[in-house]
Amino acid sequence: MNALAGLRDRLTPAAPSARQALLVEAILQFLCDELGCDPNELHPRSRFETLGIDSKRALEFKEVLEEELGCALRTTLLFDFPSPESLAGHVVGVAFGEVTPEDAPEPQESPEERLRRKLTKYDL
Amino acid sequence: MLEHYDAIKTLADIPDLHARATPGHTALIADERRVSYATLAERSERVANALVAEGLPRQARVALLGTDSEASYELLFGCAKAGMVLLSINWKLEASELAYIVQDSDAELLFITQQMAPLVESFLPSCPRLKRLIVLDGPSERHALYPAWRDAHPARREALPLQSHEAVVQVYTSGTSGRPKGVVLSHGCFLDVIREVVRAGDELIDWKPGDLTLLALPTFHVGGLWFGIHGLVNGATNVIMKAFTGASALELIEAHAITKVAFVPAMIRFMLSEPASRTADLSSVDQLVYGGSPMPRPLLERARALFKCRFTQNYGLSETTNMAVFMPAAEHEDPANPRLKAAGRPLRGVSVRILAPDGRELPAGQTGEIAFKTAGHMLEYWKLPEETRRTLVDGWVHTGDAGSVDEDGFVYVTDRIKDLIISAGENIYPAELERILVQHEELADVAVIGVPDDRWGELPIAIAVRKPGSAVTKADVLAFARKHLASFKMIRTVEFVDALPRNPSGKVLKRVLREPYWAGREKRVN
Repeated sequence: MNALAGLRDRLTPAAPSARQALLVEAILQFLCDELGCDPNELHPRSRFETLGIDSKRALEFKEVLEEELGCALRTTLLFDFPSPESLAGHVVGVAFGEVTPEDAPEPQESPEERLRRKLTKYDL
Repeated sequence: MLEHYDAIKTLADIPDLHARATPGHTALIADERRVSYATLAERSERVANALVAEGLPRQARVALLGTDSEASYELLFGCAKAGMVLLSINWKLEASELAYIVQDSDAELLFITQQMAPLVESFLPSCPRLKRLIVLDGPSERHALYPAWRDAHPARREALPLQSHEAVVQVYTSGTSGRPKGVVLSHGCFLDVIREVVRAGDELIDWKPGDLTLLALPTFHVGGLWFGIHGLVNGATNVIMKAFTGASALELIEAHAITKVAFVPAMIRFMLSEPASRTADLSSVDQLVYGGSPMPRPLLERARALFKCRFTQNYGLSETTNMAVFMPAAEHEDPANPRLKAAGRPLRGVSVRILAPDGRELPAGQTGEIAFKTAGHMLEYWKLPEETRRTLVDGWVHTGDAGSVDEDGFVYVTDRIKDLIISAGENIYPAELERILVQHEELADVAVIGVPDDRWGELPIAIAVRKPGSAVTKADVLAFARKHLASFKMIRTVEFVDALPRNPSGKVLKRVLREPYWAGREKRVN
């Protein structure tokens, strides 16, 4: 069973203010399991790119979140919200009806800028 | 359109032909910028003059490193007109791989997007043949800017006598030996086979006046370059994607009313997963070309529900200039058609043979190495005469893929002879990954294999042997790999064993390692 299993059931009874923190913990555990990372390597503000999340992994992760939370999310989710903390904030909003999937922040940098920082992982 | 192919003998003719006939028609759209055929012809003339003014000789290598824009095609046609050779380099590679390609190619000029500059400058001292860097999209304090460099030279020049068989493009592919190889292609490689297909009226891409293409595949892949070139041969308007995302592909198709698209299956997978795919109007698309990796049947069905248009498949290699085999639209109509397991039939003028290990030709139905004889065959692997002789034998391209041909001439790819993994349409050579991973100081031995994956076709995993007394963990090896491998080549996991199976001459028995993961499957490619 993955660390995101039954997520909606776990988040629904929680106070709205606690949902983001719960989701951050679940995401960190999921990443540890999937990437074979040492938990000490991970932090709520770790950037997905530096953890070796490429576009394939990002899509898989997004689809697991969609399935567990019953909501639609953009394929660029992990690039628009590049850390567990920012991702959880957005996903909780979408899953519990506060924002729409399209409410992504305006890109702050071009693909080349992300590339320069070795943060862009567009692989296709 | 046959009249175009008859009028075009080399790539240099492409922009000029349409500049005479339809000068104001838009050839390229990149972001919000539109470049007409007249402007493309004019700019490519200026580029050719500028390249000559740099003192570069005929057949000099000119490199491009960065996301695509109209400059990619201005440089392609500028190189063609100057009798030089363009190599577009995969910008997703790590610095050491980029440095190797720039060194190996003997590139004398390197065009980069601004944001690549710090990375390129880090390996510049190791590329002594490189005369200068030119930044495509400025600003830059240290390097020349492309628009000024280009426009400092006249838009008219005396046309060079060009030969169809001269090299014009060098595409780098990953290598079985652990290093990328430069596949050298001529003008004729791109044009000669297709001209005869069109002359015969065979089905291929049904180009029409007013077509708009989406150039989603990058020019550093031969498929991207091929599709862009043929869109321009046929006078289409071509919308360039800087970098593919499912959302932007859907947006661009709808915004521009795109009619022709070419994707690898993984790109379609991304578009299907995008919430906007449920509402996007894709009705303008009349033909979707796919290739690069097998298309799983369920994905094909979902793709057909999204794009209600003609689907066609191509199969080929960089060494056959993208195309060799084509699966017509009619074969896609019935989802239960058993021929959908095939890659298609050879194009007119392309011959196929299935070869036994001793070189004998095998009859229909038997499995062996697939080989093609085609006018689109590469000229050579750059500076690798031995590898060229092994792959190009008496004009036959030995593909390294295993398969069979049925009584009707359909080619089925069922396994690989060369040690290659195709993941999300990207070729990954295990030798390249093993060369890196074996440098981990606590690993005694390592082999990388491809395992089947429903989403991406295949994924690379490492099978490793610890050094005596080592307690190195999976997390340690993955962390090491993350530091040294380009992300699209990243291994998915590591499994430890006591020893790798080897034959008496010491070669790792990859088939033995792969077997548990592929057991029960009809084919050994996915």
